[in-house]
Parts: sequence; structure tokens; C-alpha cells
Amino acid sequence: MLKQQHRPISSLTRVCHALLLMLLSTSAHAAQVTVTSAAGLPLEKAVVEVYYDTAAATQLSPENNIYQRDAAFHPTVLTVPTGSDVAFPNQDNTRHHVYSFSPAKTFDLNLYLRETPPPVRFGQAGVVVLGCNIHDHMRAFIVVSDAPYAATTNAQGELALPPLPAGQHRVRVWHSGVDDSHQVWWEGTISQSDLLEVTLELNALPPPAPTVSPLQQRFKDAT
Amino acid sequence: MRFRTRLMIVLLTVVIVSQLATGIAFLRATQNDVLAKGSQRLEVGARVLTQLLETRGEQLRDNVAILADDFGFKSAVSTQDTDTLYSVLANHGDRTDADIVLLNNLEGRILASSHHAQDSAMPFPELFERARQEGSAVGVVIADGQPYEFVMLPVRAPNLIGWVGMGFLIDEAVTAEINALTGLDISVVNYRDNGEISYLASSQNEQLATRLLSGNGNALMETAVSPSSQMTPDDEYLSFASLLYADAANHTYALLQLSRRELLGAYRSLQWQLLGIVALILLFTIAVAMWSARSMSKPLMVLANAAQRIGKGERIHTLPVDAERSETGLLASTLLSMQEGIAQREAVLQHQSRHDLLTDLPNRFSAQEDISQLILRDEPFTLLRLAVNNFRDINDTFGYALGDHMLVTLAKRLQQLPGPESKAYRLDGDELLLLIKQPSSDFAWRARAFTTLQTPIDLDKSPITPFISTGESNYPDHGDSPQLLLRRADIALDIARRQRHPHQRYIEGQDERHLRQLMLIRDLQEAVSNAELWMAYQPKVDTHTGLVCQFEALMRWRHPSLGFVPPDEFIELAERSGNIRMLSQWMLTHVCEQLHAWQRRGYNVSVAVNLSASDVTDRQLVTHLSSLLERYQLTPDQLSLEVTESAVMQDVDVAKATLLELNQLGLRIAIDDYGTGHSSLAQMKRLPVDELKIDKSFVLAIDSQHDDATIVRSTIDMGHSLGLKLVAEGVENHASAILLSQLGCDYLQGYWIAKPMPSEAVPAWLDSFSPLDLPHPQTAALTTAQRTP
Repeated sequence: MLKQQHRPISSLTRVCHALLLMLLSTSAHAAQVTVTSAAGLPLEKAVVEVYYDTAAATQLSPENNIYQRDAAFHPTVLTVPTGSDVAFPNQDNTRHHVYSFSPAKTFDLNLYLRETPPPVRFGQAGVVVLGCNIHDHMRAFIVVSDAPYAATTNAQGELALPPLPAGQHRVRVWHSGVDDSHQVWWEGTISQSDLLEVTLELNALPPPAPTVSPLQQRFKDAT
Repeated sequence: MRFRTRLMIVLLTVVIVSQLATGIAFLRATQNDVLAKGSQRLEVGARVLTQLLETRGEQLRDNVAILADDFGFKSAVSTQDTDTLYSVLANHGDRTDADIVLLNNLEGRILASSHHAQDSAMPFPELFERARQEGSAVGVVIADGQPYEFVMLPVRAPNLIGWVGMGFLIDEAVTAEINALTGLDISVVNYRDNGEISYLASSQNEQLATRLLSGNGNALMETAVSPSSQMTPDDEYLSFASLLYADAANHTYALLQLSRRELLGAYRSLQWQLLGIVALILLFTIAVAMWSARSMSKPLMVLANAAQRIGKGERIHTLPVDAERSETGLLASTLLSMQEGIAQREAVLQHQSRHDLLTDLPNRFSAQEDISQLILRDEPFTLLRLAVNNFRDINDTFGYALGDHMLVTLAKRLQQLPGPESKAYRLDGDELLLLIKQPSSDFAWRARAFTTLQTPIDLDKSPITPFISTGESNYPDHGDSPQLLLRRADIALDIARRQRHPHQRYIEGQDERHLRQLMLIRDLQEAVSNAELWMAYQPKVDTHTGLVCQFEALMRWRHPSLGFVPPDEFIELAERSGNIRMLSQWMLTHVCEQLHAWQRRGYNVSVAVNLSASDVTDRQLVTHLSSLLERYQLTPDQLSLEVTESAVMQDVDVAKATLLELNQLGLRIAIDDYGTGHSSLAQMKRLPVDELKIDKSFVLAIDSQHDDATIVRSTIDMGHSLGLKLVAEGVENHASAILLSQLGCDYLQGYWIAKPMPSEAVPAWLDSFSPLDLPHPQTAALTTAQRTP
């Protein structure tokens, strides 16, 4: 499946900071995190948080969206700073009932089609699992992060970190496949020029495959 | 064993053996088949049970899946509020008709459960592990000792937030359904490690189920380690244990059972049917065997009966045996022809038994029968027994073939005799019988008959005349039984033959004499051993000296009932009956013994004994005598022998040889009764004779009869001239003694001197004897001498 170019809009300012830091630093290259599974496969959409001291306040991006198309959430993993609002626009012809029972944020957007409900504010850090009540296979994660920097890996499982101040910094890595509770993080440290390689053990049950039942197929064919 | 019985036994044995073999094989196969089918049914039942549980599990899973996906349920679960969880589990459990409901977190700790405490560990870790591996799990679990079909499914919201489990009790509803579907009894039973057996559910009534399960418990437990299901051995039930659930502490089985009685019900009725069929076949076989045996044995019985009747002499003309060409028909015709053969042979035998083979005259048996018949009819008749006097000579001379020829010729002549009606029989050897139907034979007829019979017969080209003697007895004059008449005719014939008469009619009293003789002959055998015999001694006196020179030993017999029997009579009978040697032996022994006894008493006596004709032809006599002399220490001159003329003449050559030997032994030999026989002095001369005893018939009346004196004188003279001594016996008076002495007789014997006396009297008599004074015979001797030239 063709994945959308990973370009987190919400972190544009952070990128500017990083560029600035990179210019200030004497090091030749910036730090990078590569996440792979125990089987050695690169893990895409792993969330990497880096904690370091920064004077700059985290800028909330004005608009965060997880839209629904073809009975799937897009993107499936979204990283937002604490206090961000996320809207769930529906681009399908069917209604969706987006909900979350996660402790970080419990909400419930009753069936809607074009009239996108107001954005939901995620004021508590943590992993929020999204589901659709009428499409059991639909699933997405919103990682609400307090960290100054948080982003997801690309298709190669890599994430280039912004320029970091000198010293060791706390790093957390999360992936939806690590655990069924989705509350388990990999923790470590990283320095400004480290090439950190993180190997995660995927223990979670695989989500039910988005199979199309004969019944759904008939419905699909009918539309 | 009777043929019928044997046939029946053989047939029955064959039928029983074959029927039993077939029946047993069939029943065994059927039983095995029935049991195999029962096992199959049980296995099918076990599969149905598994299938049913699976189906119900699937249904439950679907129901639980819907529940787990229910948004309200998920939202309730996500609240993590215990009361809410309890109520939502109860609510949704009821919806799916579950008997057990539980919810646990991802680690397996109980969040809420209808059967377990909150926050307790996962009660079904195995199932849970399977669910975690496979996303869901269905299986049998034991909760509170009860079996449940249990489903575990994840609760996703949409991430996994917990596991929900629901189950239904495997109870009577399930077992009843299996029972309804398969007709099998099913029990669910749990065996714990500690041996506790819990009865969980059964389609059977509880008591029976418990009993059966307890009974099977050990067998099951012993093999319970084996995971495979198996059949249990049981007398009443065919059981199949299907393992439902097993963990470290529990083994739960579904026990499917099929009543053997019910299973084998059809088989039992088949058994009885088969038994009935076998019984019918046996009855049929018996009937067939009886029928066929009867059809075979009936003609055999008829034949056996017929054979019995033939054996009794009955004559059978037809036999009621139908099939002419069958074996029995053949047997019947053989039997009839055998009867013919027997009849013919019987006729031949009958004829032979009543007729003489040689002459074809009726035999003695026929004669007796015919005589009996005539006596019964009281017809007077005459029996004429005939014998050929010279038959023996003819046989000896011409041989038996010609003797037979003569008998045949005589038989023909007898049959052709003219005159009164008569019938001829051959009784024995040369004895023929003529039965004449006349009170007695008349002389004229006899003369004619004798002429006819005694016509010379041409034997071997020489004409031989058969000299016939006849004895006659008449009925009713001489007796009233065939035996008596025949015997009296025989006695008459005997007399006729001895007297050499052609004819003798029986005279009253002859039979009695004959009987006396028979008795004497018979009793003589025992006379010796009964000491009825004894010896008498009569002295002889020498005329020259007047002294006793010798005794003659004379045998005496005192019969116990007849009294004194004259020696002439019994000695003749002994000679006829062949007992004479026995008598001689006794006599010789006795006399020698007596001599020995006298000798010891000082009486040196000489004794003369009489020898019979039989004795002188006895070659053993000499050795016997010499051994006797030796045994009693006697000298030969103490014993002398007297032989009659006629005895010597019977076989002169043998007698001469014997006498020579006796003479050589030193014994003196005298010729007894000289003058009565036909011998000549010339013959006497050739014999080794020392003395002549002049017969007493010449001596008794010698004093009065001049002729006798002349004969005696000439005899004395002749004897003396031949060198013989002469003895006169029968000297009864003094005159005779004087005369004989004058005539030159050497020894005298007679009543005038002494009667024969018993041996005990001899010594006394000798002692009292005084020598006789007799005239010297010189005159006579001179007279003789004068005549001699």
C-alpha cells in the first residue's frame, strides 16, 4: 500500500530549531533513530520521543486531522503534543462512529458523515486508541506526547532527529505492535550525534485483518 | 446294536455335528457383528457428541463474538468498574444463555466472573494460552467440578482491552440430546487424582449411572493416562469412554453406553430361531432315519422270522418281500433255495439215519421203531435174528470187500424171501434181522428160507456157503418191548451159534441166565478188590509113598448176593469178557504169597495152579512168574502149572513157546482134563509136559465102569511109555484109589483123600494126615510092561 509521505506538519517549527542547532553545533551529522522488529524488519510508524531541555515552548499546530477514507483511518499513527486538538473528518460515503476508551482520552463521536464533529482536545499525554463502532477493523493511534520532540519513523524505520543539545537525553520508543495494552514504551538515552538502533519485540495480537465479508462485498458492489 | 439304532445314531451324529458347527460359526459371526456394530454405534455416538459440543461451541463463540464486539459491552468494560462489569457480564451472559461468564485482563487476572473471585488467577490457563495464541479458544473446562463447554474471545476497543469467556454446562440437556440423536446412554463423569469420582451428567437414571461409573472407574483410571478413547469391558454394557478434558488433577470422560441386552436382543431371538431350526432338522432326521431304517429292517425282520420258521422245520413257499431285484429280494430267494437244499439233505440224512449204508436195509433204529409200531397195534409177530457163523473166516480169508458182498447178497435174499409178509433189517456187522408178521415161524418155512439163504455165493470165483444161525423171539410170548424182544432173540441166536444149531427159539429163563452172566462179568471186576475171591487147596497123594506130594490151588468166589459161584462158570465168563488175566495175576501172586507163608511156618508144600488159554499165550507170564518166585524166595519145584488141552490147542505154537520157557524155568507142567479134548498124545509129546491129569469123568466111576478102567489103564500106560507122570482126579472112594494105584497111576486127588480146603486149614490137615497104605502098582506095571512089546 502506498504510504503517504511522512512529513509531520505540526513539527515545522521544531525542524527550524533543529536546523539552527545543527548550524550551531560542530558535529558533522545529526542524531538518528532506527527502529526494527526482533525479526529484523524495519518498523514504520514507530513513535520516538526525545526529552531534552529547551527554552522554546512547544508550538501547537493549529490543525490536526485523522480523516477516514475507504473505512480506514489516515494516518494510522499520529503524534501530537499535549493539548492538541484533532479533527476526524469523514471522506467516505458511509458514516463512521469514532470512539476511544483509552485512559488518556475517552470520547465518542456518534455517527456522522459530512458534518465533521468539532475537534477533540487531547489534554493528557498517552496513547489513545481510536476505533470505529461500525467498522471493527478500523484502528488508529494518537500518541499524545509531553516530549519536546516526538515523531514517527518512515517506511525504513528511520527517524532523523533534530539537532540536540550536548549530553545524554532520554529517548522513548513506542510501536502499536509491542503490546496489546499499547502502554509499553522502550526507554533509552541518546546523545546529539548518536545513531540509535532500537529493536522492539512485537507481542501484541495482530489486529483482525480488514477482510471483506461476502455480505460487505455485496454492499460494496451495490454502491 | 440294532441296524435301526445304528443308522439313526450315524445320521443324528452327522446332522448334529454339522448343524452345531454351522450354528456356532453363524452365531459367533453374528454376535461379533452385533458387537462390532454396537462399538461402531458407540464410536459414532462419541463423534456425534464431539460434533455437538463443537457446534454448540461454535454457536457460543459466535454469540460471544457478537457480545465482545458490542459497543455497550466494550464501553462498560472500559469503565473498569466492578459492579458495572458484573451487571454487564450477567446481562450479556443471559443473552447467550451462558452458564458461566468471566472477564479477565490481558495478563489473565479475573476482572469479573460468575464463578471466580475478582483478581484471582486465570482458572483455565491452558485454554487462555490457546486463546492468546490463536485469537480465540473453545474447549471443555471444569469449574466447581462441573464440565463446561467454554469459549474465550478477546475484547477489542479496538485495541485488546481484555478477554471475555462464556460457557454452558454440559448437563442432562446435552446428554439427553445425544441420547435422542443416537439412542445411546451417555454419562459425563470426572475422575480426580485422589480417586474421587463425580457424576456430572447422565442420560441414565442417577443410581444406575453411578453404579456403572463406579464399576468402570478402576478400569478407566487404569487406562486413563492414555489419551485415546476406548471401549471398557463390561458384562451388562458396551461402553465407550471419550476423553473430554484432562489436566493434572482431573480426567473427564463422556461415557457412552449401550446395553448389551438390548444390543443382543435380536441376536438372542436369532439364537432361539436357530435352535428351533436345528431341533426341527433333528426331528426330521429322526423321522427320515426311522423311516429308512424301517424300510430296510422290515424285510430283514420278515426274512429273519422266515429263517427261524425254516429252522423249526416249517416249510415256507413264498416270502412277502416285494422288490424282487433288491438285496432283500435276493436274500429271500436265497433263503428259499437254501430251504430246498436243507430239505433234500435232510431227506438224505433221514434215509441214512434209518438205513444201513452197505445193504440199504433199514437199520436197528428203524427196526426198533417198526417193532414199537407193531406192539402198539398189538399185532403178533416173530423176530428172527440171523448171523453168518463163518463170517469172520470169510472176512479173514477173502477180505472185507467180499464179506460186504456176501452181506449185500444175503440182504437181497432176505428181502426176496417168499411166504409170510416180512421185513429185513441189518442190526450190526453180520447180524441181520427178519421181522415176520406171524406169531411164530414154522419149520417148513424155515427149511425153505435156509435153503435160499445158504445157497453158495460166488466170492472171488469160489462158491462160499454162508452158514446161518438164527435166534427167534415172538411177540407177545417173549416180551412186550422192542429191546426185550431183540435181546431175547439175540440170546437165542447166541445159544444157537454156540451150539452150532441153525435155529433156536428163545426159551423162558435164558434171559435170566444171561442177565446173571452179565452181572457176574460186571462184578468180577470188583471181586478182587473186595476180597470176595479166595483160594482152596486140594491135596494130591503119591501112590508110591502114600504121602501128600502137592496141592492143587482152586479159585473160589463168594458173590455178595449170588453166594458161591462155581469156578467153571465165572472162569469161562472171565475168559469171554477178557478179565481172565487179571484173575490169573491175582491167583499167582496170592498162591506164591501163601507158599511163602507156609514155608515160614515150616510146611514145605508144592502147589499146582491152573493156567487159562489166555495165560499160555501171554508172553509176559514167564517174566512175571520168575519175578514172583524171586520175590517170595521159592524154588521152581514148589510151583507147577496145569493147562487144559483146549487152552493149548487154541494157539499151539504160541502155547508151546510159552510152555518151553516155563519148563526152562524149572516149572513142572501138567495137562489138565486129559481125555476130553481132541488132542492126540502125539501132540502132547511135542509139548514140554511132565504130567497128564486124567479127567475125572473117567475116574469117578472107575470102580464100577469097566470101560473107564480100560481107558484109564491104557492112558496110564501110554503116558508112562512117553515118560510122563499120571494124575487121577475125582478119586471118591477107597476102591477107586486101590484100583488106580494098582493101574500104576502116580498121583491121586479127590474127595476120598480130602476136599479142597481153605489155606488156614492146610497145616492142621497136614499135621493130622497119616500116610495111606496103597497097593504097589507093580502088577499093573508088569501088566503094562508085558503089553508094551
